Amino acid sequence: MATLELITNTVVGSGGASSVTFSSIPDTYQHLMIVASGRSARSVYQDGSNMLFNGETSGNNQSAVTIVNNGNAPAGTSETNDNRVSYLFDCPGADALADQFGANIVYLPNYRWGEFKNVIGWNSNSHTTFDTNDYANDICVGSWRSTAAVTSILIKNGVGNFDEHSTFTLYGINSA
Amino acid sequence: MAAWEVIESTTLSGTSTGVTFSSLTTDYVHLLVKMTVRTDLNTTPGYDYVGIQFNGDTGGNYGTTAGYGFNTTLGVAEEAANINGMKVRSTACDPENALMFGQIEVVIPSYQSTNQNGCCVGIGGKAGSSNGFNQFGGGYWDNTAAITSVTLNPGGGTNFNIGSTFTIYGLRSS
Repeated sequence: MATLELITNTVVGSGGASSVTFSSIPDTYQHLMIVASGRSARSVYQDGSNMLFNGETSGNNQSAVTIVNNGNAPAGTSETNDNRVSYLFDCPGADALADQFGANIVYLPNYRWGEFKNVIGWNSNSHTTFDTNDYANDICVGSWRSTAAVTSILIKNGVGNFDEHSTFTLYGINSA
Repeated sequence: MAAWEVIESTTLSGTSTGVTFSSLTTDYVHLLVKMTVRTDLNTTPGYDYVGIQFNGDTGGNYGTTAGYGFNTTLGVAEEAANINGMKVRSTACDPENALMFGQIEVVIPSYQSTNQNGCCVGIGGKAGSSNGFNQFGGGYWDNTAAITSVTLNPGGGTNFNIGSTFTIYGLRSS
């Protein structure tokens, strides 16, 4: 059995998409990994993102703590009792360098176990200027306070759409 | 089918002015590079970077942004139009103990795309007897050509040291 297996690959088509959903995630892996390159259509240098699990949009069961470097020395930020995990799929916006996409990697360890879930990832959205919010690099750890197995993941652009050609790939990691 | 495969791997048996992975195929969607690395830069406080260049481009077409921690100090690394490539950190180097190496992992997403600039995100660092340095961030290559080769350069040094290890993996999309 291969250690890492492809589950699905999504490339955003013409016109963009406000979100990408991985549904019907198999229960045959130990961990999940997502690798992505995204760009937002919003007229900003860099844009935010949200990550939700199993279609849950209420209950305030998610929290995150993030180290953010966005033109200033790295600093921490936290969101507690929210309905999303932010920062994991942040990406350049329409005002960023042309054709610039962000680079993201995210891990969901033990996505099926009966304890609360964790997610960890880091990303980079570089730019040619360095004022505050011209670019962003983040390391984020989030939690979903649910004992349910993760069966679907929604990756949502902060406000508008992910641009065409944004790519999100979901892998399963085996433990045996 | 395995979605994660080694494309190339090398452990230096002698010093090297750079490592180039040129056997990239079209079988994958993303690339992942893992390095255990040290350079011959000889300056206190004993850390260095690795420059990443694509397709042999040595022009000023690269940018880097990153946050770092140097011991207890936090800072930023910001460069545009750089000829040395995207700078990921950190390696060990002299005068750090000769057995000390840095660890760096770099993701290069969508490397075959001709609609996206080449880019990367990296994380890494080195601890040491006196100074530690870690960094997270990435960079861009201002070019939308498909990436066919990845070159790793020894930062402010002239050579990578013996024992440095470099592995590039391919991640499939089908």
